[in-house]
Amino acid sequence: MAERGESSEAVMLKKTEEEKLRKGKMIVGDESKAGYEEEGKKVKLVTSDGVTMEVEISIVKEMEIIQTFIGATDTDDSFIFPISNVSSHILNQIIELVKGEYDQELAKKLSHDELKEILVAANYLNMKTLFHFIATAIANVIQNKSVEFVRDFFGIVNDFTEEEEAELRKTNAWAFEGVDED
Amino acid sequence: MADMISSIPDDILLYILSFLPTKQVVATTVLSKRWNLLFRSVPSFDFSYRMDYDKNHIEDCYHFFHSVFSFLLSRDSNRSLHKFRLRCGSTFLMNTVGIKTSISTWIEEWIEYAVTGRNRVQHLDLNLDQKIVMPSMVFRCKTLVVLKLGYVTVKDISCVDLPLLKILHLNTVLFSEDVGLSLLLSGSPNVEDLEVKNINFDPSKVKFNRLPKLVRVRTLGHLFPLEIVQNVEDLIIYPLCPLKLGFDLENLVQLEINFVYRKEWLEVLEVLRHCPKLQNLVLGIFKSYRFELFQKNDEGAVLPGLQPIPQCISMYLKTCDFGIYEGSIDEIQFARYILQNAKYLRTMKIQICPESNVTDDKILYMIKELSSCMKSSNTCTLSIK
Repeated sequence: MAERGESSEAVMLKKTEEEKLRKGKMIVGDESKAGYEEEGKKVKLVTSDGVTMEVEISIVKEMEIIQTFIGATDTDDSFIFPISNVSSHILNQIIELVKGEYDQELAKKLSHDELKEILVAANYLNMKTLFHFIATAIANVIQNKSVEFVRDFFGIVNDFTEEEEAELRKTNAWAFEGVDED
Repeated sequence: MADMISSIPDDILLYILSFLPTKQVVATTVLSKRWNLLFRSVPSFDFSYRMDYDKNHIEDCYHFFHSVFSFLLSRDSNRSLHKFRLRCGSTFLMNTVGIKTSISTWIEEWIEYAVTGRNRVQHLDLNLDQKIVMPSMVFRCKTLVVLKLGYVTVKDISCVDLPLLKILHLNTVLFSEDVGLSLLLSGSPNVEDLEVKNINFDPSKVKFNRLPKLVRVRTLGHLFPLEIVQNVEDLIIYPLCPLKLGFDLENLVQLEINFVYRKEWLEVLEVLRHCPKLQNLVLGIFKSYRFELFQKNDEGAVLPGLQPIPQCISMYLKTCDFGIYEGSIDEIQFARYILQNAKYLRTMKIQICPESNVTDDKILYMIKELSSCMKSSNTCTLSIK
């Protein structure tokens, strides 16, 4: 995730454009034939819980960390890439999100733990679009929520004393006004 | 899980925080010691002023200024500020006679702060009041990727240099010169997404250059010349007067037409004739204060036999969304025309307009009518809600 500079909206714009181009090609061309030579090709990944999964190349291509190595092993389909930081459950969720074209409705069905695990996985696999998608989904969950909710969401242990916290709340009192305590 | 979050680097947390309103970002100072100073590095400024009618307006304004300054002064000034979003609304500058320092001067200063070079701001989103004049520096801020301006005045726009700008949204911006919009566009050669709403100028005094890179355009108002955006793929229009396209929109894939006064089906077909490759058509109503003026079509109106069939309908159209069904006969006729002639149609969605009092009988009649009509496409699904 080195380049997070580009404006997120512009990233999404680029993404939909690519999507459109891809679809456009499929429609103009003969639909019975696969538009890409690589279509249907799969890459083997072994997850942290030892499950070997065959993942479509179109999805693996979004994983920049692996993408770098695909070229080198192009001729050898039997190679299994270890992704030791991602469980099979989370990889399945990621595949669903990519296939569902990053629909916010899908994100709403994810638990808080899944959201956080996908975030960490997206960062590790260097999946830029997924990372942006899941970061905004998390922002939507915690938006306008109380301090207690955010602490609970991230599993943050409050290491302030009651007096310290009260003092901090006083310093920036404006930031705590009109927030629903939930 | 607590272990996992403690392993998340600060820059990821900062990225998530950058999507939140600044008020909430500042509230994260009390989460824990680790989070206490994090807010100072968040690369975003996002403040909205909402008028509180229970409070004294002047005190309320001061309170808002205090919040903004307290954030700006505690920021880590070595960190860039990628996003700057400020909304004040039209009530903000009302009844502020008692305030000594000019509010608009303060706001203009914040904007100048945002576009100073070291902040490297990419995303500037302002929705203010037409009393606020844009500092001319904004239009020379080379790092901008997204620029959204609503309800502001633009006076000095003699020099525009926005080479990275991709998204430009303008809503009710008052340009003091007729050529203002044209100058802004010619200094933004790489814009892909353009929104132009309620921008007035004298068309006889302005010449626009073509914008070949545009992909998506949304325009409200009749002055903006569509000729300059002939290459767009995605177009949203609100036709205020009869649309006469004397040219083809060769690349158009998606078209949304929002009727302003009445549903002009013949006009829609005329537009479709100029969109040879259109795949998705959305029909809606412009919901505004003028909604009560919206004219219902005659119950008895009949569309004449429409030949020839526009090429996009017979060869490319995949989806058609009616966001506006009100129960008139001409609507069914148009829907039937599409169903009968679109060979590759996959879905037709019809939404009953909630403001119209369409009876269940009418809905049943329509379902019967449309499901029994001959369809060119074998794979088309019809949904009526």
